[in-house]
Amino acid sequence: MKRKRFSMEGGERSAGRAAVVLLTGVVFLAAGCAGGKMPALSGESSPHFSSQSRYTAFAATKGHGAGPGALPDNPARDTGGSGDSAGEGNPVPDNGSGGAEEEDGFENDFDALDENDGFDEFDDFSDFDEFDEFDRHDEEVFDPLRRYNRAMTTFNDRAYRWVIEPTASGYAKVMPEPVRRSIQRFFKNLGYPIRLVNNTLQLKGGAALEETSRFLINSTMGVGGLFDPATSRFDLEPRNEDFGQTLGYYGLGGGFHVVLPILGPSNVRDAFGILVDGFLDPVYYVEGVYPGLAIKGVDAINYASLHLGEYERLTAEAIDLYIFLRNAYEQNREKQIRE
Amino acid sequence: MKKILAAAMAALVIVLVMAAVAPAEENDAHPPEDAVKRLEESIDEVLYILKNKDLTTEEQKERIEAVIDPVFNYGLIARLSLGPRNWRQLDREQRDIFVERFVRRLKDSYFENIAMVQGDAETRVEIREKSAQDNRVHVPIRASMKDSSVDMLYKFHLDGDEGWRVYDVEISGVSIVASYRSQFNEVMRDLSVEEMLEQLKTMEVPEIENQQ
Repeated sequence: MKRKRFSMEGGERSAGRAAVVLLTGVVFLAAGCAGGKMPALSGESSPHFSSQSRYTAFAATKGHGAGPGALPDNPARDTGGSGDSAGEGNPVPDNGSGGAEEEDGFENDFDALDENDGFDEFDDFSDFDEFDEFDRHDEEVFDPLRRYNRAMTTFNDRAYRWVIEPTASGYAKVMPEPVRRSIQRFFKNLGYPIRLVNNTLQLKGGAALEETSRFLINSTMGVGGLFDPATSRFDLEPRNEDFGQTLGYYGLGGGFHVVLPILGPSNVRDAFGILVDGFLDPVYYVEGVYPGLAIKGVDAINYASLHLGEYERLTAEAIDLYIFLRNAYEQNREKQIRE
Repeated sequence: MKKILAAAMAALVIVLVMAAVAPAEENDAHPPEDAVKRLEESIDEVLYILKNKDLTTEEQKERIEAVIDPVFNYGLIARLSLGPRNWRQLDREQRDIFVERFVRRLKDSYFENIAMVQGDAETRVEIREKSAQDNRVHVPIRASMKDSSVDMLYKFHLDGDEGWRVYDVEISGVSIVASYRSQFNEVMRDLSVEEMLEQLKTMEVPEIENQQ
């Protein structure tokens, strides 16, 4: 389904959205971020490198009444007192076992630690303390559509495995790969208006110009977009931007997660973005909405045919498919927006 | 007199500069460049092994493992992936089991992934400008294949005498550790530690439906 997503935007960016990204999408997606120079770290150095120390405090107060749920909001390396975590606790749902070991005082903790090698325990927790860049993934995600999202994830998963991929695989047998690659490039080229407008809206003039050069080169030398001399000869890589990213660029958060039928993981902001981008997609203008959708379907199948097996491989490592896709989607979008 | 002043100023500047540089002193034995070098060498070796068609897949796997094992801090990756909240629920023995199974799984999926990259003879890897701070170095790379490319970020930390070791990898902005962390946090709401460990044994996607 993730690949399907492409259909809406005719671009790899959708791939990105789909968590596919992880492995495969890899592939395509990245193309989207191509232009970005990966300043990632410098820009967000604080979240990555900040060195707060909640877990030292956390370890010291382990078993505190509030349980694992109460990580102090404020880094409290020196305080380490249990009072802290109670007061400013950042409520996170108890994960079930909190009750069991509740309410130990500080000293009792040490007794408990002795039993199973407390030294280790402290070592471990100082790691958590030092590598706190992952902490935000401990917070509960606001996900009001969770139930629906899970069901739709299952539906999409089956649709992909049972319908889309078999179709794509049959199609791959009759269509030679170079032809399929050309078709993919053709659709990608058609997504130019979306990239132009969104680069412009984000005041990325250079990227907008590059996209325009790409479009002109590929539409002429590249025979209507069937080939991509802009990349291969002129070293101009695509600058994928969509309206969801534009909104994100101006500070709009994603809102809660929404799994779209067939299109896969999304959120409120990006689903709206897909709609807006649809108005910039020439396919719908030239052919009308319904034929346009059918054409998008071809695009999607064609895309899937070039990435057979990747979805399976990507998701095989998931422990919880829905959470895996949701988290990967959001992380990937954050990166795309930063760039 | 002016000359003396100028000399004094110069000396002062030098001292200040040295002072500014001093905090990096502890990294002297392992300058951040070493992390980049380490990554570069590992990538070269892995690509070389992958391109050696005389080896069976099993042999390739073995050799690649020998290359990357010292570079990855598996134990740390496993702990960070499970997260502090869940980690404290495991007793010692369970922790060992967890790390062992998790690492096995991590390696398996790593091989799955590079098997895919390897299919492409034109794979090129470009190492980009690193960013370093204290005892961390993040090295972005871009792997380009036919018609596509993927950005990855290798995150190193200075691990004592072991030198620079990887504690997380981001692929297209998706951190492996963060991905597992969010999943473990979810799964551990409903499963006992034992059940979770059991689930780690297999790579199959267990379909968790309507698990509210």
